[in-house]
Amino acid sequence: MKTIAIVSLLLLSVLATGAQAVQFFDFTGQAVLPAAVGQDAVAYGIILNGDAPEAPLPLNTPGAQYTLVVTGLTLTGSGASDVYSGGFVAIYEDASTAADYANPSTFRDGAMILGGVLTSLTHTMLLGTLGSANGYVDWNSGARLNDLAPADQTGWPFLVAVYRNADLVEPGYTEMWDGKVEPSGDVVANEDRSWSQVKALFR
Amino acid sequence: MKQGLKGSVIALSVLAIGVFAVRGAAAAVVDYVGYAYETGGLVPSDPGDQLAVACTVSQIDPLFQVDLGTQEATLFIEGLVSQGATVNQTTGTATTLYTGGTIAVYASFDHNHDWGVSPPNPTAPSTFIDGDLVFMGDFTSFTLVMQASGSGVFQGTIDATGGTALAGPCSDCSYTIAGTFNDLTGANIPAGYDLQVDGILDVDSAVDNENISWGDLKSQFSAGN
Repeated sequence: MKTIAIVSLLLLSVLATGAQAVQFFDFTGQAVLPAAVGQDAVAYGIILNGDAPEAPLPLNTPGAQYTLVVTGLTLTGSGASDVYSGGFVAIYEDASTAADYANPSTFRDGAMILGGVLTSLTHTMLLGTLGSANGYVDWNSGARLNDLAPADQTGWPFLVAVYRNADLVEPGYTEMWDGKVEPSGDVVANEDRSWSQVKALFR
Repeated sequence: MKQGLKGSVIALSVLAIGVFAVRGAAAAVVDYVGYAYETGGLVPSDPGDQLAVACTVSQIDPLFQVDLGTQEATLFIEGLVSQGATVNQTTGTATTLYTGGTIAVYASFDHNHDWGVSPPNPTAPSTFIDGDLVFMGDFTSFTLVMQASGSGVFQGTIDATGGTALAGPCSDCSYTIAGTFNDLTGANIPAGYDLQVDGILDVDSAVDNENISWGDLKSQFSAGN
């Protein structure tokens, strides 16, 4: 009974500490938006996490470049806010080819470390050339999906600042995206231990 | 003469297009992410409340001469005084104008930024205002628009007042700041902060002005030039 009480206190302490940490994939990119309902949006971005902010998964930077690609994001409703659904988000790791907005294929080479469904996205222009888009991602594929516990794989907020300033939009694109995708809580790294080692922790 | 003038106008137009073409999507930016808090809470934003934003920089233009491979850059905004939120009763969107306020960017070899909880606290803002002052400015305008959903945008203009960046090519630049935010809904926000923030400081003119007379200007389009 005494042991249970101690374990409970330890768990509460860990959770309290974890809630203070901050982890997300920070990216900047360019998007092409559709002209009509039923058509798809695409976006290409470069993940900027260096030493800060901390990424939800350890990244091999600067050895590799990490890119984020959104495809198949279908415009389902248009108005003061545009509503999208059905998009697929992928994060790639590539150590050979630098991403180039003039050549979107450079964002999709390398290994896909995470892939998932952008379950919804609402896009609103609020101040002239400035807007906001947000939705949620459920990760379901990728070489490093299993680095995330099942409970950590879904419901990641996806938040983007939208800029349509001429000096920020690359040729051929509709707008610049500056955003982040993050777990709703901390992702804690796995640590392999034998049963005996686990039991030893409670002696 | 008329033909010559027409030629000059055409030449100037071509030059202008050329400049714009080069400048397209080549803005100098500081990209930052962080968290904001307002005295008295942001919802609602009452007159006199003060907004502060503590951020870490994830991308910075070379003109600021900060190497993120070895240094940590941080950005801190403080002293923005709310004039009170105006709510659109139809959409629920709240628009708040702020007066005053300063922004500063620092660079340090100590990678120590820590938002902590319930700001201000022992690490925030102290770990966001340490190191060398790279850029400092006064806000000349700042507007925050929050949708009923809790997400929104902010935008402001800045007069640069100090920092090492002003000794370089940005002594005559103009600066705007903008970004988006989300409130507590589903986001990983440290306790005591009101918003998560993702935005850019955009250097609107990364090239110095050059003052020349009309005669000098015309001579650049004379025969032989």
